[in-house]
Amino acid sequence: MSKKVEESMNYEEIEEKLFSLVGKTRKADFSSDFTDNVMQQIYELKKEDEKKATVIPFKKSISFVTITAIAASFIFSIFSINESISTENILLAEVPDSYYWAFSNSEDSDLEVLIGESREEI
Amino acid sequence: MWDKNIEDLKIIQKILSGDKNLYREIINKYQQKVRTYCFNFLSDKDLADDTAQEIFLKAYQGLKSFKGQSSFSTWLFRITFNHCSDVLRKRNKQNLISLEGLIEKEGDKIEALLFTSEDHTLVIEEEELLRQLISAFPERYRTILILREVNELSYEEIADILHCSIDSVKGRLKRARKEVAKQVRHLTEPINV
Repeated sequence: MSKKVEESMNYEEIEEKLFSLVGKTRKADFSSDFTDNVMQQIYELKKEDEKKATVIPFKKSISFVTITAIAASFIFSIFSINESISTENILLAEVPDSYYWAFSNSEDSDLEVLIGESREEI
Repeated sequence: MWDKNIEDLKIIQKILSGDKNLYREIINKYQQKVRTYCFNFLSDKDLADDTAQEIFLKAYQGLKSFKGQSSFSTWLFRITFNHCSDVLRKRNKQNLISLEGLIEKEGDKIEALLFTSEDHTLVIEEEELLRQLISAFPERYRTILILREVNELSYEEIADILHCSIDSVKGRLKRARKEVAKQVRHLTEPINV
């Protein structure tokens, strides 16, 4: 069978025939179901957006200033922790409500979080 | 082609103004081309239809970013070929058969197809085999071969989609056709003992 190709067809003939066959393959049939499915997803997309907008109204839940303050304090804490762990293995940080937090990762224990009203108490 | 583009632009403007039901017209107009591309690229009908749906959804969500600098059809095809490539990458490649593997497995049938007469009408099994063959083409050739040989887009349209010159499209297409034909011929050569 293979020998037949070897003897009677060269590259150009194979190329021509192969791609004339490829060109003969049928295109996808039109499908109204396909259109309906996509449109359904688009309608659901809209509903989902509306739902999100009504369930969590940003202004009512939390103010922008509060979010910024929380985020800033969190980022500051992370940086402080990394730095203190790599140097002195302990960090003391003052928090707005007069409490002190301490993070420790001494060699014989896991990372600990300590909270107290003063440095001495911790 | 330009008239078609103006027609599309008018529809898109109306959709963006709030008449989202008009997107139905866009889907109806382009679904066959997009689904045909997906089907030939992925060689899996269900996956192809799911992918085509995602493409139309993605296009709808990105409609605001369509500036009309190219035709809508070109813009949609860019999303199509990018998304199909992503789907293929995410898909477990173990399920895909290589061109070599396919020719080894179905070599006789492919060869028989090469000897059919010019007016031969493909039966379903033959079409399926050809689709498998196309989807087994190396990925670097597959896109351009499907766009030209299956979707029958013009060189100009392909150049727009692939962001290259018409000469580059012609060159790449020529190389792709030759390379695939070479592999088909090479792998069907008899083994000399």
